Amino acid sequence: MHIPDGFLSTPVWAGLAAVSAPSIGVFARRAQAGLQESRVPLMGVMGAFVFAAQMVNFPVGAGASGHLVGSTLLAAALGPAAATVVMTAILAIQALVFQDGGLLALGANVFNMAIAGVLAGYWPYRLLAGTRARRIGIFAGGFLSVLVSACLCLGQLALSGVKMRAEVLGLAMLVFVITAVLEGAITVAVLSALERINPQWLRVETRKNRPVLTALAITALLLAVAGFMLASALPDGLERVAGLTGLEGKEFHVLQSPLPDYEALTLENPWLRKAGAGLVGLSLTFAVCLVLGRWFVRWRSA
Amino acid sequence: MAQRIAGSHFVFDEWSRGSSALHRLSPRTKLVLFLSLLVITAVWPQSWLLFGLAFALVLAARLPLFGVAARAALVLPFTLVFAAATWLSGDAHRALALLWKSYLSALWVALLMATTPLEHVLEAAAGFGAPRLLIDVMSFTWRYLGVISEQAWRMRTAALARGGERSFEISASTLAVLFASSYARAERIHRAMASRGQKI
Repeated sequence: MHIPDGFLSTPVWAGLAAVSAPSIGVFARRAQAGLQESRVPLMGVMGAFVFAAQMVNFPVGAGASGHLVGSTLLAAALGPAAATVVMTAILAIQALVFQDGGLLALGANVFNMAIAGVLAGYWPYRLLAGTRARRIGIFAGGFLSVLVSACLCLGQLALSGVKMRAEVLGLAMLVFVITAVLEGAITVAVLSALERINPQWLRVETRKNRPVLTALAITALLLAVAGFMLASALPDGLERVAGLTGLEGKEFHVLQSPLPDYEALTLENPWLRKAGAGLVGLSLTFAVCLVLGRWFVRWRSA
Repeated sequence: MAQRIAGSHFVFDEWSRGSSALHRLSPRTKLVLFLSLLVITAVWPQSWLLFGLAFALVLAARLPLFGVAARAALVLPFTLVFAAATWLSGDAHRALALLWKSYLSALWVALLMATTPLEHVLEAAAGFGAPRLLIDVMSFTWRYLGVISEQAWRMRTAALARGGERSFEISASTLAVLFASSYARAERIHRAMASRGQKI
């Protein structure tokens, strides 16, 4: 799911880089604020651990096996802000040293996996942490973290004009859902094993949750996932929605841009304007969420 | 896919200690240069000119041409899957563009890393305003990657010798033990640094 360079169109990677860079700044500040002294080496070593954990196979039968992705595990062990920073560090090293994901596409990959993936993995875990259903929460965390990242990745590729047939897309979705279920199961197994050794490792928030807000956040996440799945499964539906919302008239050909190489250079290209409009919308939504979130944190701590 | 993180992954470290003009260029300049080349690759129509420039730079830096080309080829498996999917959807032009651009971009990144040690790249990124915490975490991750990976590999070999990775439980407890020892290692690192007067 690491998008290499050359896949995303310029407005998509540039827009997502513009969204990710300041967010990582905010997360780094938050992580630093809530950091105990010994946390920096711990975060670094945990990054190496997540890398190394990929070597341990989890058999699923029929000779196939999966491995841990780790967003939920990191979020449970370090808290969401620190986990986001560690995931970003991992993605950056993968892009630089392992040629796994592009450097320009790093903004997109960070957005998909380090920001959205970690938050999608953290909230179900946190919501159900104190209750009897906490295993379900952990499973949902692992499941959602992978699925949200995958849906965002496919969505960005589609927005960039990488054409895929419905069957191919369906197959990809199937693979992603299986990977997501596997990640959920692996996360549950590993966290249970960790708790048997030392329950203190997993941060259980002592503060009272706000059930309404968390429920809302999860609903929003689920809706986003469902929306992406629907949008990618039914391009016609997307077209209809685009028509209804009056987004640039009747033709919404995000999925079929004819000359990929010249798009970025010609500003009068209608496709570019649409993609740009989409990205501006995305960035605005994100900014609003960020501002609301900060306001909410301040209000709660006051 | 159990992939061992070992010697071949650290080949950049070896290459980046060279002494060509490209090696001696300041890391900040190189970061800007290669980022610009990446952007040019992204927006420019495909041309052999850029490939020629990339290979000329490899030769000018006295790097093994085949080695660097093979290194950049690590990006191809992912790209090939998507190129095939695009090709099947009847967009051969786009499929070719995907292969071309992703390989050329990987070549630029490989060139940057083969001429600049990672710690210098990180310092340059910090100079351009990347958060200090992120840079520190990356340095630690990179420093301990080999150590912890080697441990994971030993544990995996031991598990295979005892009868294989047979069940979820065995793999899960393997990871839990690895987590425990990584955690303890982090504490030792912190103590060692603190006892030498470092504030971290």
